[in-house]
Amino acid sequence: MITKAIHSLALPRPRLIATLLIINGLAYISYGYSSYEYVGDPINILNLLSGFDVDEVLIVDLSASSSHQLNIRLLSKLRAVADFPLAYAGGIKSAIHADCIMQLGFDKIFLAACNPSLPTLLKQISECYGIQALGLSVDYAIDNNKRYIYNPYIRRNSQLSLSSFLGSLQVNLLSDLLFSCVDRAGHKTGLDLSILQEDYICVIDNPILLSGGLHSQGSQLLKNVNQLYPGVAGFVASSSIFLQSGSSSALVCLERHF
Amino acid sequence: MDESDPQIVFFEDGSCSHCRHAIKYASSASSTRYSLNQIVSWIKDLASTSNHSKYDCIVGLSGGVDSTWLLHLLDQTDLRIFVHHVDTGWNTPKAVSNIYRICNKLGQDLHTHVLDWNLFRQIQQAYFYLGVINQDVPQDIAIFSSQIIACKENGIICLASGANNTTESILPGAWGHHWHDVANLRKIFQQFWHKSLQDFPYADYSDLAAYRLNYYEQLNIRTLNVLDLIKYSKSSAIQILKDSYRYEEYPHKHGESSWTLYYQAIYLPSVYGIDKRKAHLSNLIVNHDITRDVALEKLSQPTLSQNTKLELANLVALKLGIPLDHALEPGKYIIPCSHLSFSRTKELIDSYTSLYYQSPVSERAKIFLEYIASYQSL
Repeated sequence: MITKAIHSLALPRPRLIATLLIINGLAYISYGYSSYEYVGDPINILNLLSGFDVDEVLIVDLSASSSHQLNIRLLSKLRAVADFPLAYAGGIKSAIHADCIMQLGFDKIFLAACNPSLPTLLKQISECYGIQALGLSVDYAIDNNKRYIYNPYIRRNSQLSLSSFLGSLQVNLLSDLLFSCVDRAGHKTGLDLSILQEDYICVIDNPILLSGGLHSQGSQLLKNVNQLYPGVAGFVASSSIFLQSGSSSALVCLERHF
Repeated sequence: MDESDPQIVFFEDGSCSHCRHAIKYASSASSTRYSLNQIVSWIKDLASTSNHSKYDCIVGLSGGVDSTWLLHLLDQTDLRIFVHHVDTGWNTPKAVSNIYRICNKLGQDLHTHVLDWNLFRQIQQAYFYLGVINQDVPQDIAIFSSQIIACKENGIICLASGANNTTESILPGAWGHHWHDVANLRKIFQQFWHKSLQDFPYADYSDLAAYRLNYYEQLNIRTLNVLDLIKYSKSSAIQILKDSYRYEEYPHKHGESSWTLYYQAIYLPSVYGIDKRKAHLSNLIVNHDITRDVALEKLSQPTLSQNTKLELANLVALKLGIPLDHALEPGKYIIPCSHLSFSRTKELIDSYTSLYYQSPVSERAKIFLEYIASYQSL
């Protein structure tokens, strides 16, 4: 806890990270990982984000996850239009894939918790590019007040609890840990802040990012969150929610309050 | 204005056909201004004929000054407004920010229609490389047909528009092409891609034509160009929007759309030698907003700085998937080509439009039907 207190003092504010969800080369919003709404051309959305106070953008290519083929052409265009740090997730099955992404000029790679080659990849990528270039995306769902790793292939919880997963994870091989609450994704019902009070989270020294449920009404809480929850390094919001509605945007509201 | 409009006519006193038209319009318009209350009353009367709608009118919001000011004005009344936005994939960060800020402060929900980008990109590639003069036709057709469909789906009778002649009455016909010429668009697409265009536009041509002619009985949607009906000062509007919503002014006209800015500031000067600022500034001179000397000084400056030009061309190249050189200096790679090369629809639209307006109201339904039948047979 002492380490985290120092960490929070070093950070003037939590990072704000926008996600850009890509399916077949176009941008979408996910609702609970079960339905998706088309929101337009990812190149222009990335260009729009340059006008906001976003610290990083995480590009998640769902098509690459299912096809195991990286959309290099699109990713190089996205890199060319973005003037902020870019992270990537989706379809990283080997060190060669990771190398392709880093060669394009991306700053970080997020591996998925359900990646079958996770232990090997963590070691290979962190050795090659350093732990600051590697994050882990942990999708979880809540069942009977317990959190379980979410398996996107079967679209429901695995039998593996979040605490067991983290207990076996070599967290010293990576930097950011991104916790995404599947049930709240796209629904703007508020972040799952109670996860921060779990013992298995409190013992982690890695920067923690929270995703799923961010909404403008919670911005006052978020403004003070690094005092209330020193372990939180940042928040991840859907990049496109502010395009869809004038009255319930999280992203633009956060820009003002920080 | 100058000879870059091939149809311009100069008179002995030094004035030109455009200025005379604009001055005549301004003097006739100034005698027929209405109060906002009167406008609201008309809208409510129209809305009362639709018994199932939750809304009295639709307002298309682009993030530009005109539409933002219109929403500001109408929100001060008790009208129930459907705020509609079409995302063509070219919104600028400032436009998105301006749209968010006014909708958020007024508590208005924004209804956004996002175009199918893969299809729209193909249409724009065809327009770009075939070198036609009005590169905004695809955007305009998409935006207006989307508005029409939103009206029909929500039982809205009144379309309150921010379009106005106060700032746009000077625009040479030779610099453009009918925005609603769907047949021409289809031919251009087919010529370039060697396949027919599917799923575009979203509204029938008869609805677009009725909208263009304001043929209410056919469309069952009445368009009110509100800013032409009331007293409207753009500079005052901008100041109030800045104070009320932290509205950010655009450094260039049409700065809410990267594509329109590119088309007017890079494509038209490079391919056609046309500087649209001449028309915009002439309008401001006629309205006594600026002097001729100020306008000439502005014209002597480049439209965009080198950095802005490069950034804009880079964005266009990335989005359309074309080489940066082509986007940066299109005049070197593109041969100008008339819209008429693809279809002869312009003459038909022109002749039926004048026939429609010159005919007694009782004959207009018949003329409209003939017009649509002739158009669709081409």
